[in-house]
Amino acid sequence: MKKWNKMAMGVTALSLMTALAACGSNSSPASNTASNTNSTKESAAPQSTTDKPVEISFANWISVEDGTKEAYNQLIAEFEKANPSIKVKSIGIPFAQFKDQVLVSSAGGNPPDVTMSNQNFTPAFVGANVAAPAQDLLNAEIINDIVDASKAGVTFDGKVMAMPWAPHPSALFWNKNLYTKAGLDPEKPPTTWDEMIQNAKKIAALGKDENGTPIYGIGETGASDSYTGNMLLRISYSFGGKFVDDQGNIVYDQGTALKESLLYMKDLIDNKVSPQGAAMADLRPMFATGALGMLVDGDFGRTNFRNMSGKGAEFDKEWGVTTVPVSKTGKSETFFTEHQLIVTAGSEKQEAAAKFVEYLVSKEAMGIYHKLNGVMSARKSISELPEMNEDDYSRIFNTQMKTASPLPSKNPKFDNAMKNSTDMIVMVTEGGKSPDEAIATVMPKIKELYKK
Amino acid sequence: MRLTRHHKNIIFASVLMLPAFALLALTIISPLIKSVLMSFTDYSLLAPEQNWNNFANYTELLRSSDFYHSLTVTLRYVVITVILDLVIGMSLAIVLNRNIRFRGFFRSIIMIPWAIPTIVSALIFMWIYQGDYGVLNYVLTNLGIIDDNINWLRSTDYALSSIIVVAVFRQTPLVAVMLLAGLQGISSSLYEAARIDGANGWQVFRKITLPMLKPVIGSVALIMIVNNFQMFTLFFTLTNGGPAGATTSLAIHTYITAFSQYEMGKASAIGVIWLLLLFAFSMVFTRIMNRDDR
Repeated sequence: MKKWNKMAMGVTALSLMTALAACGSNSSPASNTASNTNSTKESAAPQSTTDKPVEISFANWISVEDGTKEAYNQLIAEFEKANPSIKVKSIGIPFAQFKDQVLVSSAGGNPPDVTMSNQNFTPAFVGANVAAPAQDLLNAEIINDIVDASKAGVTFDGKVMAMPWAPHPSALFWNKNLYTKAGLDPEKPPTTWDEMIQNAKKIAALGKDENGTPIYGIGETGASDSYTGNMLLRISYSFGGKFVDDQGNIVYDQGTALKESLLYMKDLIDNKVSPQGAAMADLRPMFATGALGMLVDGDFGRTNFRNMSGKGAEFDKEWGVTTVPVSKTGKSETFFTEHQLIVTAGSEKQEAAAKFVEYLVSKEAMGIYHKLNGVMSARKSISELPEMNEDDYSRIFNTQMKTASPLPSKNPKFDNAMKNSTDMIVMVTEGGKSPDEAIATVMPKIKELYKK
Repeated sequence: MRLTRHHKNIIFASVLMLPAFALLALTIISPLIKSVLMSFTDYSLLAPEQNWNNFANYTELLRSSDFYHSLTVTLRYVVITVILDLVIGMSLAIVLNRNIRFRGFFRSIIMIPWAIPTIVSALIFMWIYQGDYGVLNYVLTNLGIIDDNINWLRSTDYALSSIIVVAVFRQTPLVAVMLLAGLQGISSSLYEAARIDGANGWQVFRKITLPMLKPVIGSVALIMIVNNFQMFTLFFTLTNGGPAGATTSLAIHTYITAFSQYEMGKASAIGVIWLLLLFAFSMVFTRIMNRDDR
């Protein structure tokens, strides 16, 4: 009997210790700082052709996503062909874990040389001293060529800390087949918010398809993730809302925009016009398989839908894309997300890393990326090139970019604030709370988060 | 000085234990001490300086409704999961201890859910639970049990229960096998004597099987409680703590505090409180088991 108890206690103690130890970090913050400021920067190119190539690590999520894997492979192959003295080692991390893993590996003294980022992650990477100032490492000509809105988003304390790569304004995709089935003109997308809701309700009234799969009018995200928070903010823009004022104070709950946004979500979800609790990863395949009438998504949508539908470019005949319908503000309100590139402060190969970043934002690289994924460039000189505006698809997104707002993500806790804001959708749609109650419950927590 | 045999044995035993102890010190004890020290600092990933902040992390936590909420979610999950593990595991063990046909085959296949990695189980169940295409809604709708599809993992009413089902599916085989080993250790003469005395099945189970299995049940329960208290993979993969915090367990709360809010000091404090709670529970539990044995 005693033997059993001793064994159980032993196992328990060991398990407890393991659990707590897992919370610990091997890194020393002090050493992290030191590595940021004092690291010796190695020359990028070997001195002679007989030298071993410099290997740089590139933390990214595009190599692990089906839609962008091919573009990644081609970009790396072209870079390595043009720069035989530099090899790129991919560190592919799924998007959902990306920020945490880069932060942890950097804090642990093992940062990648270059990391992808976006408007939500960069403030955290800058705050945690992961990012080296891009303006000190990249060619000044490139820095001066950045689109103004993008440049503002990566400038911290007057310094450009990350290189904007590909801005992704969100526009409205619509399914022409479902429009026809619902008795709507398949070539006439909605131009106003009310028209969009009416069309969505007509499509949802179709009920189910021949396989019994439910058909929804529009896909609005309702999951507990920060992207859903971004989408809620996008909706509130259409109702005239904003997240922070010019001084950076949170004003999301002021006025009626947030309340109207939550009522819009409640109306759609309660009436099964939009699926409940869906993440963007759920909505994209639904659109690609004809279960969604409309979806607001970025310019990478076309490639995703082609892949997910299994029909390739043939699927393009079944959908159209237009600017987000006009609402209360009288203009097409949307936001743009942006893929960015950061040379890390802890990298010991910053010269090679900077060369790699310069290549990725070059005309050649953007040509490959645009051709394969339809992405745009954050550089003025490249975004205006005819080959970047060769079809209606590109023109729509370039038009949308003119009215798209950057996300107000300067605070490192913005990503977390966006995630927390999704609680309001859940409270309103299934928690039986009014928008006012949901706002009163969640917004103080978000404000508290920003204070710390 | 000449060493006695006793001293030589002690030195020999110490030398044998040294590598294991060094490994433990490196991988567990050192980070553990570091975590405890960190819990008294304001260390944040966003501010590399570590300053001693007395007990601010602890006082803040003990006043935080989020901490108590995550503790409640964890306790609900642990209690329900372990009870179901034990009840279903015991039933399976009793069946597999009987002379049924294909007993060896059943004893083998029962281990399959446990052999599947937790992350794989979670992904399989994500598809089963999927609101519009999932097989669960399909079956329940066709059986007329539900009228409308339920979004199991995105509903505040069902998300925690859905996670518990996956946990029980995965853990019950291990419990069943451990209990089966215990059952096989009970002498058949005890059962024969009980039958001769006229005991029925329930009386045999209550008066012989349960008391004889008690040490095994106690140990299994303790291990399952501790393991489930630490459960992270299922929560993170299936719901990531959502919707609206309905499945934010202590593990998820710690993760969010550390890697979304970047407050490593506070996250370490949660870990320390968690450690103390579990350690206290284990002490009480073991003491109760010992007392009843005496």
